[in-house]
Amino acid sequence: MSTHFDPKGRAVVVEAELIGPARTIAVKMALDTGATLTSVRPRFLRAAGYDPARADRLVTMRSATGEALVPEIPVSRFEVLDRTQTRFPIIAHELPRGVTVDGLLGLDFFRGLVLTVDFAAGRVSLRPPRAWWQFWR
Amino acid sequence: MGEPYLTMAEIEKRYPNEWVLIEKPRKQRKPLKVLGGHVIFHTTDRDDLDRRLVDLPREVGDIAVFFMGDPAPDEVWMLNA
Repeated sequence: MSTHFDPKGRAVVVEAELIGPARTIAVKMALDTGATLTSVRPRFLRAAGYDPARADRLVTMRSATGEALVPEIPVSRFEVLDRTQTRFPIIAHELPRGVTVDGLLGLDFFRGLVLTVDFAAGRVSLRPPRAWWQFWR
Repeated sequence: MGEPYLTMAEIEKRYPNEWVLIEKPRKQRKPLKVLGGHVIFHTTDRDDLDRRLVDLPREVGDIAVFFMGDPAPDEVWMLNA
């Protein structure tokens, strides 16, 4: 199953669902293969019921603009591109004003899977690799 | 909940270039897509949206938060920079 995206948009944007102790939040996220981890704006994590200020783990985030210690929250369930991850670590990271997505889908969500981004058709999919016996089907 | 149910097309038409906070979003699975819901807050200012998210009453259930439009045409994103 693949998901539609706007191939002329500023980024490859997909809808995601973040499940927290308070509520479930659907947000738009940009695929970012330049990001090691997946991140969501801190206020969205708070609205879902997580408290980034009480995170057990802080990670060093390095970017072109510098480095910062950011909280990492294990989110109980996170769903995007037809894949669901449980106890998935998401960092609380603010995005600049004017950016109309609320999170970045990083490499950690894609590892071990096959990510296909078709800019001609505006479709993106994430699926498990085919097993050897599936190649001659 | 006093707000009427609107489809995403109706929400996009009614709140162009605004952030909308949608309560009880109706979703399609595989692929995941919000089909509509009840708009309980809308604003052109992301800071307003952030304040609303922080003060969200406990009784508000599941939500979806989307921007209904495109960024400014002369703008580019370098999100990991």
